[in-house]
Amino acid sequence: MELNDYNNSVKEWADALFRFACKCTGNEEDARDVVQNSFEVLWQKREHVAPAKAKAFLFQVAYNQSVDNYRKQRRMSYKEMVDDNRSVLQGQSDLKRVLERALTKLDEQARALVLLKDYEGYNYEEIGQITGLNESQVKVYLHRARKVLKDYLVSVEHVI
Amino acid sequence: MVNKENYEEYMMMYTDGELNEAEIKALMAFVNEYPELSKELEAYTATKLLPDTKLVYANKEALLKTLPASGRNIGMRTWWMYAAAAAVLLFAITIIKQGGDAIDSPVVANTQTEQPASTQTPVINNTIQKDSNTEELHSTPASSVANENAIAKAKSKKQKVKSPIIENQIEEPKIVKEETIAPVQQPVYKTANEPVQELIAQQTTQPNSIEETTSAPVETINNEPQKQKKRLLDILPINKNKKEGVNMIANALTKRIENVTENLKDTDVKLKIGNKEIFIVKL
Repeated sequence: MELNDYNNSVKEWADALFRFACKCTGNEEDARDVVQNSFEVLWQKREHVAPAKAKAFLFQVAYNQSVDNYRKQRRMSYKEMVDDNRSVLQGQSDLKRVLERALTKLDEQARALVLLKDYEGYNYEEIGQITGLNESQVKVYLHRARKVLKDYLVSVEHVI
Repeated sequence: MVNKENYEEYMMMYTDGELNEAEIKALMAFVNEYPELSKELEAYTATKLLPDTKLVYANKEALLKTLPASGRNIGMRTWWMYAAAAAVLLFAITIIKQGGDAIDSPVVANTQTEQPASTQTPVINNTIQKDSNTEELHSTPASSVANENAIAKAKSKKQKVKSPIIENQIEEPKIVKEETIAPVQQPVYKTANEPVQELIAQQTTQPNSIEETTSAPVETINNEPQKQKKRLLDILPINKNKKEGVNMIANALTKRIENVTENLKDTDVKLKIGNKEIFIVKL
């Protein structure tokens, strides 16, 4: 990929990557680091990355950094958010916010899979390429995560 | 197809957008058949997350890249370009000159002494004068006045003895090659041509006389770019100080290049000033 392709990738995918990283890492500061690192890696490897594959490459790097490098840190930050769960149950009926809370019930990998599917619309195969899992694993993990989210939504509805 | 055992998987795949039209129809038909499952389907579809478009990466510009400094000519200050142009010219001249010098090996010089026996003295004189001309080139590659005078002399001398030299010029290169391959029989030639050698020794410090005639035409050609370079430098719309600067760079470069061996022909030459790559010459 050329310089222009790289800069276009920044303009086109930086926000999406940041949102993905935010949900994966649980905080914006770490997410900014992930985005910066991902683009830095893309720049270094630009000669080996076709422009059409740039987005998947970025998400792959971001996924690896978020899930592997930030795992411990994220657990801590999400734990805090889970502790704050009561406020959600008490007053938040907004579906979106409930879902965000539901995400905290998932492990890092499951959360990343749901985000790649729902935010970016990748199919099972593409998610497999990004995460290094095979297609059936993606399907199984994703469905397991989906069931957790659904059960959470149903349970919240009952409480409210 | 869709049944009580697998309907949940269908619902999840539906949420994931992984069902084809036929599968979607089958799922909907199944849900219609069991209305109590419609809420479950709704719950699954509600788990689909939507990105928060308000969440954006601030200061994206910091991630953008610009052209790397190396190999970029845009924005180069003008004097750099003049320096680069002068350096390229000098480099080219030096390379050609060194190519000429390469023929002037001591081995060849000794062997050539056999030739004067058959050639006339005017030829020898002529070659010696050319030799002095080449010495001038060696010593001051950037001095235009001396060079031009030398060139003029060389040209006029060359014209005077035109016909005898031509014969030598044609024959000499062959001898040069043969002798460089087999330099064993030198003493025989030396003794046979003693008078001629003495004559040469009186007139020049370098023993190779006729051999010089072989290199002389090359040098007269080489002088042309030298002249061109000078003219170009004179024409350049820069003040004296900058011209002196260019000359200094050129001289420094020439000194460096003179130390380079023949291997240079197989490699690329890169000129860097500071961290900036000015140019690359591919040989």
